Amino acid sequence: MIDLELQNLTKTYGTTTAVDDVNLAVEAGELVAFLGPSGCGKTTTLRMVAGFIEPTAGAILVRGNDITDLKPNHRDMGMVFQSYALFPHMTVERNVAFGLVARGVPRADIAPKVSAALDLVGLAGFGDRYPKQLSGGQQQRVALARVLALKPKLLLFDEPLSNLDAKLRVQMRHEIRELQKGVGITSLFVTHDQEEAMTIADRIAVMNNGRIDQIGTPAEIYDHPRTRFVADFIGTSNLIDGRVAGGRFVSKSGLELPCGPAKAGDGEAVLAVRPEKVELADAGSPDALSGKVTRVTKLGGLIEYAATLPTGEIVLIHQQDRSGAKTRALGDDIAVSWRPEDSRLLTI
Amino acid sequence: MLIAVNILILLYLVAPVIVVVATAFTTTAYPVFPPQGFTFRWFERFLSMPEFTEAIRRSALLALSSTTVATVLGTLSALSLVRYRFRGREAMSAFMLSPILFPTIVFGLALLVFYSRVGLSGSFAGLVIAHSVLTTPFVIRLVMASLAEFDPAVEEASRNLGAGWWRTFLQVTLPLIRPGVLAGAVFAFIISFDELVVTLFLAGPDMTTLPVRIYTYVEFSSDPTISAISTVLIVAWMLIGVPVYARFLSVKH
Amino acid sequence: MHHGRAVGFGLELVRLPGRDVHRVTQGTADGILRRRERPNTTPYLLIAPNLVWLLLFMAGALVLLAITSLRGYEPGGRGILETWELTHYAQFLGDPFFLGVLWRSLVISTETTIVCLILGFPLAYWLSQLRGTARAVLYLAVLIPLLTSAVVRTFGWMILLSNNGFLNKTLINLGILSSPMRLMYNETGIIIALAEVLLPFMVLALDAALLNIDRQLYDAARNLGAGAVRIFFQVTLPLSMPGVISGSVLVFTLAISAYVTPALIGGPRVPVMSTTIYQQGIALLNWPFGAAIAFVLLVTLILLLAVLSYVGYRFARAA
Repeated sequence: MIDLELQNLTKTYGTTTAVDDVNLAVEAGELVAFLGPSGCGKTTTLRMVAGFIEPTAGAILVRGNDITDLKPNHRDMGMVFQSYALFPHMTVERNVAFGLVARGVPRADIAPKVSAALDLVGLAGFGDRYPKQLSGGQQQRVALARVLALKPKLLLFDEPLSNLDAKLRVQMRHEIRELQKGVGITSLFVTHDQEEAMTIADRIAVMNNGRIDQIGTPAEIYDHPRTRFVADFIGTSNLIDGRVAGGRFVSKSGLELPCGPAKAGDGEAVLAVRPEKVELADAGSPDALSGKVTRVTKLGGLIEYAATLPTGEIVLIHQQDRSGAKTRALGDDIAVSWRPEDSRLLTI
Repeated sequence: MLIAVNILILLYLVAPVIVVVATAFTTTAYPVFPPQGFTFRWFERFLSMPEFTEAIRRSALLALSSTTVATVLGTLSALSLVRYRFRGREAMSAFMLSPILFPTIVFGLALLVFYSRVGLSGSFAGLVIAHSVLTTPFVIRLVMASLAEFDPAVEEASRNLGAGWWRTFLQVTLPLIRPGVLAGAVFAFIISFDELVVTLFLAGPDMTTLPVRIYTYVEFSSDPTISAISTVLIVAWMLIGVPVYARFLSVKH
Repeated sequence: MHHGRAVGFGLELVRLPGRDVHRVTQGTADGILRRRERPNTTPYLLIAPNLVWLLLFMAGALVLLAITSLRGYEPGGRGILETWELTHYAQFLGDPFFLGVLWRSLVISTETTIVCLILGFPLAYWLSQLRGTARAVLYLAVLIPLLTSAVVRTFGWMILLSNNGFLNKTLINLGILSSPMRLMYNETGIIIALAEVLLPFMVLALDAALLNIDRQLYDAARNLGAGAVRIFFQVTLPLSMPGVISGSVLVFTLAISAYVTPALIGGPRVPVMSTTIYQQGIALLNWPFGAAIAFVLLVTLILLLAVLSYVGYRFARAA
């Protein structure tokens, strides 16, 4: 069942287009992350769904009903803000009760709902505190409890973790994921952190220049990027510009490189290969491109080599830093190769 | 709805200013609103009255002198209050800003009594001192706002690069807070030029400033000459004040 | 320049000038060094000129005024005597006329403050919602009256408020009034003009408080289902209380010590504290009595401000 549908959603400010013809269907209970660099339109999209920004064109449907013209206070969507937006003059309890009171929930039902929500986020007993007496992580939980108490149709997260320190951020990711699955509320989650999107989302919508470049599961996005932007933005990729002719890829410098089947016809294209898919061999190996190591960087459990080919292209190689693995030094002559099915041909 | 209400409130706020400017051009002998006809007669009359032109000259000199004192005292104080943490800073800040809230009527009487003891009665210096006390807090506030705007690390960088305190102040701090200092000085100048209550207590018969002249004139008679003088002041303050504030505000945001 | 800071991490010691002697003790387990230092003289040197100025010409003058209020006075003859007495305070507090003057001042200032709050809030709210050029324009519109002297603005009100002035004529033409309403030489006129003179101060104070409110709180409240009225009373108003209090304190203080507007609009028929002090000090030259009235005004003001700031403090603690 489709819970939320965005149809041709567009927002323009004067001559600039912040959100450009976005279409999306979100299944009930699904968590979709909007991922992209700042200014890509992800937050604008979320705020249009919440009703804070009026779309220039397009429609927003919740369970089949068009809510595009509904006021934000009538939309029944729980939003978790980047700054938490807790009311500083109210206790935790009154913060959580705020939405219930606004909805006219009978007085007697409010207290149990508030304590249930606080229990859910592990803050039972914190009801009398004021927001400034809580840590950042606790404030974030109050913000969650405040929307969960309403059992809204939709949860909207606007970079909720970006104000937390790195360790806590990782922990909260998992908590939010579990809470969301537990309550089963369809959610949108805006972030610029690809790792966050990968861990938390069922599907990721990668946004660029106001458009959704690609939407898919984290694995699809990583393994089968559809555009140059996605391949570049998610993880690290070797991107080599060139042309496809007769099913073969030739780089700008004239080097023929192994590639998978071209989806589009002949023409300009980009070849993308993940560094961990590139094999590193001794110089002179058959069916490999010869090159020279021009940079060696240790990245935690990985070693990254940059190999420069005689034609000028630079290829990055990621190798597990296992004991016994053969390591290379700067200036070593080596050879690189990859399996054609591990490379992608992308349109520019 | 909110905008309609606000337009009415704004109208109330600017009403007397509009009335004063409008009546400056009336052909009637009394300032009536709406004005009747159009004439520059009242401006000519005001320029031909030496008691007013003389008062303008004195007010300008007084405002210039007290502003100079207030700007120096205020900028130094603001620097101390924003850039240093020292014992009694909070109390000191409250004391330095207190003349803003202190009833001018009490201050005027206090200085009247005090000056009679120390021989400053009816003197120009006495007026300069009184006005500088009244205007320094405004300089302090605006300079403090300016100082809070920029990153103290640039001052540390200057010190780190070998500049002394004085060089850092002249070449780094002062240029950065200039909009605030300028806004403070302009504010101080206008407040001093317009100050009436304390001046009324302290100014002897041969120290009459423009506001005192206007006040005594309005007290006993009413003709559009006062509207004409006021219009000149309003236009002057807008020409001087608005650009300075626009710049100060744009720096702040 | 920053070695005056009370707390610092160990690294800062490296850059400190040699003349500062520090006793460095090895600090807590996470390696933070605690240091003690001699107070830096720079801040005191910077503040000294203004401090001397204020101590001499404000504090000093006030002390002399306090002494004067306790001196005897002989009209006409020897003037201020060398005696110590409380007669002036007794004279003020024992005379229903002067107590009436004090009461009138309090009433006018309170009503002026209330008018400023009611008119200032919508304007400040609008101002705080605007951004960019629109905000700058409105800000200047509020500021421009402030740049026009109180004498000039009061003069404008005199023209508007007189019996055959614009306001009365308009009200009669509209059929609201049948004969002119007295607006000059009474308290109503003073409040109309005084509230206008002081309104910019209220707007600027409220604007500062409203700007301090995180805008996401409004979004959050709407998202949680609150309508405009609920948001105003539960979010906007309580969070703008610091501005309400500081604006009220400012306007009340300026109103009770205002001289020009009550003197010109109210005239001798409506004496208030400030006009009475002026009359005693300048017209009657009875400085000791004038000084006593001035201190009655100061003490009243201080008591009221103490109550108000206590309320504000309680409120800040609650929030």
